This record gives sequence, structure tokens and C-alpha cells, in this order.
Amino acid sequence: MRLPDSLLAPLEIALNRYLGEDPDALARLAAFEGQVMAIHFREMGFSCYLRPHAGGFQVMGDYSDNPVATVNTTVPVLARSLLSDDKGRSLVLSGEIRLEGDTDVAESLLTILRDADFDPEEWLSRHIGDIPAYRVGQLFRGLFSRGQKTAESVSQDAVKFLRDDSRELVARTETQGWLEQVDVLRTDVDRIEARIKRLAEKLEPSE
Amino acid sequence: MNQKDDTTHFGFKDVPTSEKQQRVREVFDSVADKYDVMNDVMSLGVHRLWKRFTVDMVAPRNGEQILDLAGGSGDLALLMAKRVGDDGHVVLSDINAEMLRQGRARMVDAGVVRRVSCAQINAESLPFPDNSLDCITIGFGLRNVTDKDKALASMYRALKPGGRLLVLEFSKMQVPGLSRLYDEYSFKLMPVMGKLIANDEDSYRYLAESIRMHPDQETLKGMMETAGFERCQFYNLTGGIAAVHRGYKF
Repeated sequence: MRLPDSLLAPLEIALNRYLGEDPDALARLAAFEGQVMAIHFREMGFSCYLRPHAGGFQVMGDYSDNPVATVNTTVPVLARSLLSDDKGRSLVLSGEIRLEGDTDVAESLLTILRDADFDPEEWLSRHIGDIPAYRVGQLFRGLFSRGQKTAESVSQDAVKFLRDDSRELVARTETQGWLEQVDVLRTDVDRIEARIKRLAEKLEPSE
Repeated sequence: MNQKDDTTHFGFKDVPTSEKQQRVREVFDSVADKYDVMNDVMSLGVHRLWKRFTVDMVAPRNGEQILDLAGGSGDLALLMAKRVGDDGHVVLSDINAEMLRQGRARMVDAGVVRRVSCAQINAESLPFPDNSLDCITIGFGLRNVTDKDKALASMYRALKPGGRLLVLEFSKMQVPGLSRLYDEYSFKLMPVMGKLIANDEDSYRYLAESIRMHPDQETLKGMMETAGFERCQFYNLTGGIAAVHRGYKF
């Protein structure tokens, strides 16, 4: 399937605005000028082609030549790869991302995308000024922190209810006690098995 | 595009090729004062979004040398001037002195005079050295150019390798059900609005006719490729009423 360029335009604009916030990323990208990388989204059955240049990427719905490298993946996996701490290596090793062609180019371009330094507060300050941008940043950080605390609190309450009231879950100490009892039982079984074996050997007539 | 050896179209009429430039100049001399107001009224402000989209697809960078052809009152030039930094430069150009005067006044009002210069330029023969510009834009101007192929070749020559051309122009509506409504609007309402707001019915009738005579999306893409541009793409805007074409010189 080929996506029309009109649908890919928002992706190109967003990508280039994101990269435009990091001059270092653009400088690294310029070194790959003209080396087109294809990204094939296998769950949706379409490809898009990224042509790097000093200002970001040209995003194309089709490309008549052979791309230098192809990344075969799905949208969620690509997103996880771009956010992962291990630079997406585990996803490549597990086969969720398949790199074809010049894998160095593909890895380098993905690394540039992953490492681009985007500071939303800095970006916002250029449009509404430093102080309002700081305030908005503070507001979002506060909301995020409160949201995180609320989520943690809800999660703890849910666990408490499932463990203590409905008894759907078992407390960690109880689980540990049970596991220890299993270990003791396993050891006892091993011991009794060894003893039975020894007794059986004694009862057998010697040749 | 030449219709016959010595004539070309001016709206739906065929006129001698040598006359088209003068006739287009008369149209724009007539509408210059009310050009921005009319654009806003006729497009309900949507032309501003189209222009923003075009500049987003240009993605101007610090230090770039950009030529805005048929720049008129300077909408594109102004948006780009804000993004080229102190080392960059935008040349706002138009073949029509009256439109250019409006554009220059606008740049002064916006305080971007250091990054913008104005020049009266014919798109068919650009007065720039070969390989000297990073980007050329032409917004709602190509359809008024007498010899479009010659203009595209001239743009290609002046661009640096790696440079890009962006053409924002009215194009062919891609939503079949709306085509008739759009025709009614263009040929009946637009001239009436032109008469009411700018006291000039004929000029706005010409604008509507010239839009219909302009090459459609695929044809213009082919013309750009013939001129030498590569990796050409077009982006339909508002169902194809307008389209942005982009091509690169490598």
C-alpha cells in the first residue's frame, strides 16, 4: 500500500520541527544526506521513505530506487525502540525490528532520532516568553507529579483491597512462607526418595 | 504553456503571447490595494493556513538564501524571514511593481527589513547566478507566468544542488461532489465579491478562469520533472483546491 504524500506531510513537519530543536542532530543528519532509509510497517503493510538532509528528513510515500537500508517493524515496536534505554538493541536481537541493507546507516539514523534533544519549555519560551513558559512547565510538572502520585495511590489501594479484603491476591510474606514450605517439602521428598532407594538396594539379593 | 505558436491563454481567452504579461500586470495593478482583504474574504482565511503549510514544507534553515517569486504582499517571505536567522536572507520579488510596493511596506511594518530585500523580477529569466539559491518559492504566481516551462528551467538553474523549489498554486479539486459547487463559487460569486470589495469584477473573473487553465497536480509534477527537478511530490490542500509541489535539484 502507498500512502499519499499529503498524509505523510504532517509526519515530516513534526519530525523536522522536533529535530530542528537540536542543531547537533541536524549536523549529524547532514552526514547522511541522500541516503534513503525505508521503514516498512508490516502490520499495516505500507512503507515510508526518509531522505535525510541538513534540515531534517524528506518523507516520501514511494521511492523509485533501492533504499540504502530498510527497517522492518511495527508502529508500537518502533516507538518502543525510540524510547528504549538500550538503543533498541533488545528489539533488534529479538527480531521485532529487522534491519536490512546497510544496517550501520539504519542504526545511525534511528540513533539520531532517539538522541535528539527536545526541550518543550525552551521551545515554548520562544513563542510566549521565558516566564510564562516556565510557569506552563511548572504547571505540567505539577500535574504530572500529582497524576503519578494519584496513580500510585490508586494502585496501592487496589492491591490492598485484592490482598486483604477480597483475598484474590496473596501477601508477599505469605507467598514467601509458602515457597519456603514448598522448598522444605521438596527437600523432604528428595530425602525420603534417597532413603527408599537405599533400603531397596539393601533388600535386593546380592549376587 | 503555449497554446499555439504565438498565442497563450489569459483566463479562458487566447491572447498574443507578447500581451499576456502586460494584461496580468494590469490585473494586479488593479487589485493590489485590496489583494490581502480579497484573499481573506474569498478563502475565508484558509489561504493563511495553506501558506503556513508551504513554509513548513520549505523548513527554512539558518543562513539560507531564499527567493520568493510572485511574492506579492509578502505572506510567504515574512514567514520565512522569521526562520532564516540573521545569516539568512529572503528576496521578496514580484513582476508587478505595485504588488511589490505593498510587500515592501509590509516588511517594514513587520520589522524584518534586514533579512529581506525586494526586487522586481520576471520568473522566466531570474537575475541570479547559477547554483546560488538554497530555495525558491512561488505562491499563487506560476499560473500567471506566460512561459511556465521557461520559468521552471530558470528556477532550476538558479538553485544550488540540494536546493528545493516549492510551488503553492490553485489546482484541481479532488472531491468530485464539490467540483460543481466550487465552479459556481468561482465563476459566479468571486466576480461579484470582486466588484463589491475591490470594485473590479473582470480581474476576479480572470483569476477564476486562470485557476481552471492551470495544469493539474500530475501535469505540474511532470513539468517540474521535465525541468530537471527530482524527488517531486505534491500535497493537496483542502481537497485539491490548492496544492503544494516540491522538487529538488541534485
